[in-house]
Amino acid sequence: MEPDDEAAISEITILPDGRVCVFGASEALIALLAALDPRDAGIRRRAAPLGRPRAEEAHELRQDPAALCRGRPRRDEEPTG
Amino acid sequence: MLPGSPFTPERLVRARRQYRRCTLCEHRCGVDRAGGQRGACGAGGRARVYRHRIEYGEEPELVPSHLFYLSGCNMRCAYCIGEADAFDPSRGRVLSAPFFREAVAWGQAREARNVQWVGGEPTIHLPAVLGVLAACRPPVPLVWKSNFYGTEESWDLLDGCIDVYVADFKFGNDACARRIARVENYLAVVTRNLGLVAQRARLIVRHLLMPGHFDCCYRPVVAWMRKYLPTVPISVRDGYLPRWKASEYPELAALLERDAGRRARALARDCGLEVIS
Repeated sequence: MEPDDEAAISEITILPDGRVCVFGASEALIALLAALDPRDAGIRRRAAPLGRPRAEEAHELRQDPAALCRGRPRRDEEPTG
Repeated sequence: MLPGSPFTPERLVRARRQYRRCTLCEHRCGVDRAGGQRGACGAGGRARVYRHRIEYGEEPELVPSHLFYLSGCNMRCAYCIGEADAFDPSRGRVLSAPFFREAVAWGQAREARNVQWVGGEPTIHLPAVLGVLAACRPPVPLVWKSNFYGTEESWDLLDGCIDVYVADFKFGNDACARRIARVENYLAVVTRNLGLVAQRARLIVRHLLMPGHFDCCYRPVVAWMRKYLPTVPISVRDGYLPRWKASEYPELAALLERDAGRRARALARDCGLEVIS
């Protein structure tokens, strides 16, 4: 694992009562959380900078959760054209 | 140096002098860190970055934020989520201008809105941070997240260099601060610094709710803000986890009450404060 990838890891702790605590929320995680619970105002505001493409991607993830396991390209690997 | 730059040679010299007789924080150890002596934080004359990454969990107005985690801290909060990385100043790579320049470019390519210094505690590394900022001048706002246990000298050294301060106002009384974080005179120091900084730049006060400390810590924080900083926004954090040495303290070993965040935000709003998270 490259150091940059390691640094981008988000720590998720799920408490016994179902609460989810996140330390070091990455872009990918905040997009996922926004898709899972779009009514959470705190998540929604933090996801706002992701913009429409990320919001659409999050929606796609919601429709196709298996995509999570397949991963997605990093932003700097995506086609720009 | 750019015209009007706050990073004057005089300021940098004054900052570097702190490594010879350190009074950067209110422990006021007065040790010669550059000469090998160590004070309460254990840090020497070099800052080290144990992690840098872009995060979205910060206050909404700051994200995406490029955080630089500096190892070493002047407090010993029993529940610290940074654990050993936060307290051991020998962890991480040395903060140098070439490293910082490259890291900032990496963050810019990923659309980070700012550079945020966190710890551990960045104040104990203030001279090194000012040094790389002077050398690199990142083209984004600078955020300083601190426990606000620094001295007035430290805040003077930072004045004009930082755009946004995020203050971790952790405890509402000296007894809890002494017992959990091993610092003296906590309330007087932190409130003095909050008053000082509020006049100089954008300030956000953050409070991590701790189990069993709603009345002794959170209520006094809100009451103080209501009286002295009523226009400063508060960020209520309810993601407490019993990490590090929290299990040694009966109340800190527990989880936060389920509705603590909602109650805390309601109280702050009732007191007329702007709650931003």
